[in-house]
Amino acid sequence: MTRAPPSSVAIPGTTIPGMAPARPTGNGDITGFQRATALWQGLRGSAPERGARLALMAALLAAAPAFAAGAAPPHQAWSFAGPTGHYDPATLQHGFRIYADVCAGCHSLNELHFENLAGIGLSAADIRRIAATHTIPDGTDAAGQPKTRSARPDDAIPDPFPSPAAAAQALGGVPPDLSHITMTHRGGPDWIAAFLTGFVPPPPGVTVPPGRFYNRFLRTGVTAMPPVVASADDARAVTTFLQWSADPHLNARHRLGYAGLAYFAFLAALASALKRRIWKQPRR
Amino acid sequence: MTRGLLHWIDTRLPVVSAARREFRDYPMPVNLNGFWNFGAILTLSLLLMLATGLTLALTYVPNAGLAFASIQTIERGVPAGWLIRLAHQTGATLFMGALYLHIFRGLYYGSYKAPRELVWLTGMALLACAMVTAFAGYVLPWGQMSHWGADVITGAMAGLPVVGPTLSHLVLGDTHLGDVFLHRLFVVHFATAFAIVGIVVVHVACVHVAAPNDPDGRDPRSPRETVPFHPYFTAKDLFGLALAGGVFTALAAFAPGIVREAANLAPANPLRTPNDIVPAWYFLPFYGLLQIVPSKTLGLFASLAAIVLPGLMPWLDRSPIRSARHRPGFRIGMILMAAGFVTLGLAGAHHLQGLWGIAGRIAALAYFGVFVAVPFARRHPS
Ligand code: HEC
Repeated sequence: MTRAPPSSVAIPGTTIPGMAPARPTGNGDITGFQRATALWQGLRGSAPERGARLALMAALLAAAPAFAAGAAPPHQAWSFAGPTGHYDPATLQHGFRIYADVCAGCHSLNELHFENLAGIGLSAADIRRIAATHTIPDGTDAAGQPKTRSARPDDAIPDPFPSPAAAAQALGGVPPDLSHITMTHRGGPDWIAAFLTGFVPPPPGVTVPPGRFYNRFLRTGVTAMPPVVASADDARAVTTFLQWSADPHLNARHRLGYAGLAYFAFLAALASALKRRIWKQPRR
Repeated sequence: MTRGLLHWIDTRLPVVSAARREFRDYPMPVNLNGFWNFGAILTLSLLLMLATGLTLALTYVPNAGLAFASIQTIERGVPAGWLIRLAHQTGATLFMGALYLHIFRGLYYGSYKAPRELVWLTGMALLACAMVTAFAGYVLPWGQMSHWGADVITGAMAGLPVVGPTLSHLVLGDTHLGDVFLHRLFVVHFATAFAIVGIVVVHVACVHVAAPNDPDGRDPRSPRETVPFHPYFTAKDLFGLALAGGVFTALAAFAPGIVREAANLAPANPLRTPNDIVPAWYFLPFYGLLQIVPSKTLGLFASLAAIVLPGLMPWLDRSPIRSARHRPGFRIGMILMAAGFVTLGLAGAHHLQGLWGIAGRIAALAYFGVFVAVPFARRHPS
């Protein structure tokens, strides 16, 4: 179940649940550790050396915030926010199409089974058809050779890669599972939507290594994920779909919530009337 | 027909007449206020927790590799599984909230004083059991917060002098937090949950033998100052329960962030420490104490003291007057204590950052200060 990137080093305090850990070296980006080392080295050596190093250090520190901190995602109005929040099936289905056509090539959606897609309003026939387009492992045959079959609605949506290591090999980074990403990622849906459309040319002086892309909403600035979402509209739709994946029962929960509140308000009114009548009676 | 059957049972085991005596005709003080509703609310929450908990246990798998997936099956696969789980999570919040208010009621109106010391001690034992149950329950889904919350607690436990290593070995059963630990906590979760039921029975028996306290802290002087439990207090409890049902629904439907932790939706990963480890809200005051006290072990002792000290109130407080209504100084003390407890929780949630560091420390002093001051309170008011 755990999807720890096999090659990454865990640095307590620098990683975020659900987020790929920042790679400390090899990307050309400056980590806090490297900045601290520069600071330390700037304070050693002869006076002229020290002056030069301190100047360099000051430049590094001055340049750092704009480049390493990551822009704050703009706040967006979401249909699912607040006490009247809900999903509408058209947006969810649009979002699912983006997921299926684009994200599914790299990211898993481990916790979802095909039949769960009934929750975005797909019919049983649609779900059967979608499941059948996937081939999944099916044990071994009599000779011990691995077998496959086409997926059924009660199967989990299969992973695009056989292992995180294989994904890292192919993509230069491990794409996180997206089942709960809008609830586990810092910044929530606002950040996800901003990230998907936040790919911009790097600021002057920043070189992005081949196979990496500059994104202004990342703390480290660069990511192995390529820009794949065409429009802000698509980004919002897929983010809404992912929010549904993380919190699929929102519509039912709110409906039941209002019904429950009405029920208990009515019960409280009746009980209060009953109580007052009983307490008015002469006591035995 | 039913009457005949009840009579038949009662002549062999007089439970029917006992129930009538204790829950229908039982004389209650007339002047009880709304604070006396929490007993009924707690009883119903407990029944809800047992019913939903047993249902969840039908699908849950106490195994480090399978626990998270089994919770997802409950959430996404089992019909209405998500609703039962949400009710269980919200029930925990309702139970702990009602328990804290119920205990505050007992402190404020002096319900711990003679002859009710056993009522008080069984109640504090119930709090201790509820906290263990809640902690174990929080670990079961085996998400990031489950794992790292357990890491904080077992770490502090292992640091205890003398018993630490043995206790840690007993709970972990391994060198790390894994399968053995999770399975043990599952058993603990069940065992303490049913222990609570047993304690409640003794607690209620103690209340009925000693008779309930009242807001004036003086026992009813004549039968005219009492009313039978039914229908007077059944009607009043029904009203309280309807309000509690409303709070329960509002929390579950519109503020699920209070009763469950989004960060726990990431599966436990022993290699990746989350930036921010925050326990469930009802543990925040103790979490605040753990952060304020510089040593882990002393922090654990401070948290223990925060529960043990109120338990000692029958012996710390020597005043013959029960209710804070008639003790102005004590009243201020109780309000200080409650404010200290809440502020400690807020400071804990904010990791003592900025002014919360100072506020938290003052709150800790206020909370413990009240228990230190109580024995010196004037015994005989003018
Ligand atoms: C070509 C493969 C590929 C596709 C297609 C793709 N991703 Fe990614 N994605 C990645 C990789 C690789 C990473 C890990 C990046 C890293 O760790 O540097 C990633 C990371 C992410 C992250 C986490 C970013 C962070 O740094 O925390 C999110 C969120 C995400 N992807 C969402 C999506 C969504 C939504 C889609 C579909 C619209 C999508 N991705 C399509 C490869 C892909």
